Amino acid sequence: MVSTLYLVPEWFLNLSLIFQLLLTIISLGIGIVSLRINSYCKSREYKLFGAGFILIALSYVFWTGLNLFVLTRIREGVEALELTTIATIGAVMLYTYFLLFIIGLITLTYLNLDIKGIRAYLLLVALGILPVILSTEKALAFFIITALLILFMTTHYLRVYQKKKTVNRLMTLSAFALLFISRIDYFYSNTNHIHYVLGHSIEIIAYLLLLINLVLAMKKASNPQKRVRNKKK
Amino acid sequence: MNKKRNRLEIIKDILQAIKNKNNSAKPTHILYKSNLSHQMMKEYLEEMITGGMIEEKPSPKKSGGRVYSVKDKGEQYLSKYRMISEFTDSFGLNQ
Repeated sequence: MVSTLYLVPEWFLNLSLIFQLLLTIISLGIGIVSLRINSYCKSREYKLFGAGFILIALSYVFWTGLNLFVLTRIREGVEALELTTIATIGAVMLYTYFLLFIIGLITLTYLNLDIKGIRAYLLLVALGILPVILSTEKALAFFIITALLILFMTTHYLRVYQKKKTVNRLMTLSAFALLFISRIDYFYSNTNHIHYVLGHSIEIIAYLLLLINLVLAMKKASNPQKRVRNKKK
Repeated sequence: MNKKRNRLEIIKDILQAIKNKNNSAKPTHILYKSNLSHQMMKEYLEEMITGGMIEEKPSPKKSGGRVYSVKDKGEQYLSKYRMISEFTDSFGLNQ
């Protein structure tokens, strides 16, 4: 059984916490804007999109808590998130992180699958979380399931981009592709701490792309006259 | 040929059609301005009434009938339309 979720170099720990804070803020921002749009449109897509990103944001809060309180020093300069020696409070935080992250991704996947019905959603949730809960290889199960879900979303955004090739859609596609790559790095981070650094760095770049998209959209709300001026030309 | 409108654009067109008629538009006016079939227009209007964007009232004119007017939520939608449209397009929603 793989007993370590990931290894973190001590020099990177503070930066990791800052990154996690940024990830939380960005995903929360996307979620909140989507839910605000839902309040105008009353549309299922915005509700699910918003809920998905808010669940992911909450999972990052618990991940931050894990890095603050649960890491153990295994050798000079390296800390680890150990699954076998984790105390009860740490285990609760870990499982909450797993569940929130997976359910967040499943919510986005369910939206992109374009299927309707609570039964289908619950089935996806069960298929996503039961392997992690029941498996002896929890780290492996977690990284594989989350990588698979993100890969699916990447292919979805590839189709979206192919339908209409805009810079914004390319940024979203790139963001999800980078998130998939970061998952692969996290997968190897239980054997080599440099993969944690790489995975985290790639993940923050992905979220910065999503943030750029969000900011560009919000700017449109404060520049309503620009289109009229352009039309007159 | 005009490109196919998405759902957000159709809602915007309906709201603008109502507003341009002094916020009191008859169904025939909306039908003409929104360029929808009667059935589609009916579905959109019902959805927009349920969503609180518009309301249906009896016409103040002697000819009778009903008219539609834009509510606060509909006004908010129009003012935020560009942001909603950009967000939807960037994140591939409503595809």
